[in-house]
Amino acid sequence: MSDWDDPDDALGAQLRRLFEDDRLELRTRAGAEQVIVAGARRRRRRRATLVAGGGVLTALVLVVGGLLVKGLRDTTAEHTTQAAAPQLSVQSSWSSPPQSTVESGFPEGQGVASEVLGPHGYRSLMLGMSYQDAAATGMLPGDGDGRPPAPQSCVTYPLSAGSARIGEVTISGTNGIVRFRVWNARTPEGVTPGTGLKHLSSAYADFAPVDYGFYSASTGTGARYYFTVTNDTVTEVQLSATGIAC
Amino acid sequence: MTAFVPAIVRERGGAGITRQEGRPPVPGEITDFAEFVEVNLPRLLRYGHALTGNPHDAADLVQTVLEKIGSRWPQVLRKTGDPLAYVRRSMANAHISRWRRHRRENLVAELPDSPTLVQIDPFEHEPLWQALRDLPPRQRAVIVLRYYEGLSEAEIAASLGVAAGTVKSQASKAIATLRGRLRGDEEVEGRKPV
Repeated sequence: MSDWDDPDDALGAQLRRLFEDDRLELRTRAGAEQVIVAGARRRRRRRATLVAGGGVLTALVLVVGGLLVKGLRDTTAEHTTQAAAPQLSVQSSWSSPPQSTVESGFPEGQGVASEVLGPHGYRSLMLGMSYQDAAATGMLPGDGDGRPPAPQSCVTYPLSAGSARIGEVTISGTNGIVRFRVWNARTPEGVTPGTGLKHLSSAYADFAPVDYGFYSASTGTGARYYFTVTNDTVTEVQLSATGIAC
Repeated sequence: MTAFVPAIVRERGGAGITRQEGRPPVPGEITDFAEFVEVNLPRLLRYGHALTGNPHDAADLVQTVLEKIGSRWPQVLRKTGDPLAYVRRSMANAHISRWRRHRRENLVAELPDSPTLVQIDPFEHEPLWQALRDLPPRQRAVIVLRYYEGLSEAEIAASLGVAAGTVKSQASKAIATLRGRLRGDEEVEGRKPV
C-alpha cells in the first residue's frame, strides 16, 4: 500500500488544498496564444524547409552543382529571419504590486540587458563567496530565509535588486556561490536574452552545444557560461563554477 | 504595467483536473491548435507553475512544449485522443529531462536537490510549497501528477515512462521528505507537528 492510499492522509489533503490555491494562476501578456501558435508554425516551416531543402539539394547536386550555393543561402536566410522569436511572458495573478512583476521571457531584439554577468559574478556577488558574505550584500531577500546551506550541500536563493526579483543564486555550504541565474543580464561579450544563435556561436572560441537547446562556453577564468536557446534565440544566461560538488 | 489577456474561463482546483473541457479540435489545422492553446493556456501555465515551482520556468516550459507539439499537431491528434493529457505528460517529462541536463552539465558534479526557485513567490510563507519546491523534479512530478492531476500510480508510471515500483519509491521518498520538512518547521515554530 502506498503512503497516498491512506484515507487519513493529512499531508495528501494539504497537497490537494495547495494545488487548488488561486495563487498558482498565472496571467499572460496580450497575444501570448499567438506567440505560441507562431512558434509552432515556425518549427513546422523549418522542418518542412529542411526536408524539402534536403531533397532539392540532392537533386541539384546531381544536376547543377553551382545552384547548391544559392539553395544553402536561401536556407540560411530562412533561419535568419526566424531568429528573433518572441518569448512568452507571464505574471502571477495573485496580486500585482510593482515588485511582483514577472517577465519570464524577453521580448524580441537585443540590448534589453544592461547589467553584466561577468566571468567572476554579478554585481557585488562573486563565485566562491560565502553565504554570509552574499547575504551581507542585501541581494538575498530576507537573507535567503535566514537559512545558510549546510556543509556539503547547496541551496538556491532568490536574487533581488532593490524590490525586484532578478534571478537566483546557488550557494554551496562548502564552496560558496557556485551558480548565477540572472533573468536579464548580458555577458561581457554582449550575449543576453534575445541574442541570436549566430551571434552567440561567434562570441566564444570554445562555444559548444551541451544538449538540445543548451550551449556552453568557457569564461576563461575556470567557470562556464550556460545558455538556454529557444527558437535560435538565447532566453537565459547562467554562470557556473566547474568541478564543484554540492 | 503589463497588459493582460482577459481571463479565460478555467477549471478550478487541483486534484482530478485532468480532462480537457474545451471542444475537441478538428485534426490537421493549425487554427485548431490555436483554439486548443486559447482554451488551455491558463490551465497549462497553472500546471507548469505547480511542476516547476516558479512562473519563469512555467512559462518557458509551456511555450517550449506547446510549440513542439503544435508543430506536429495532426500527428499528435492521431496518436492521442486526449491532447491536453498528452501535453501535460510531455511537460512533466520535459521538466524532468531539462533539470537532469542542468544537473549533469552545469556544475559537472552535482546540483542541490532544489531545482527550481522563485522569481516571485506568492507562497513565500507556505512551508509545504517551500518543501515541495525543494524536491528533486521527478519526485515533485510524481506528487503533482498524483495530487494535482489525480492520476493513479499506474497512470503516473505510464506518463513518466518508468516502472510502477519507481513511482512508489519516488512517492515514498517525496512524502517522507515533505513530512520531515513540515515536522521540522513546526518544531522550529514550537507547534505540534502534523
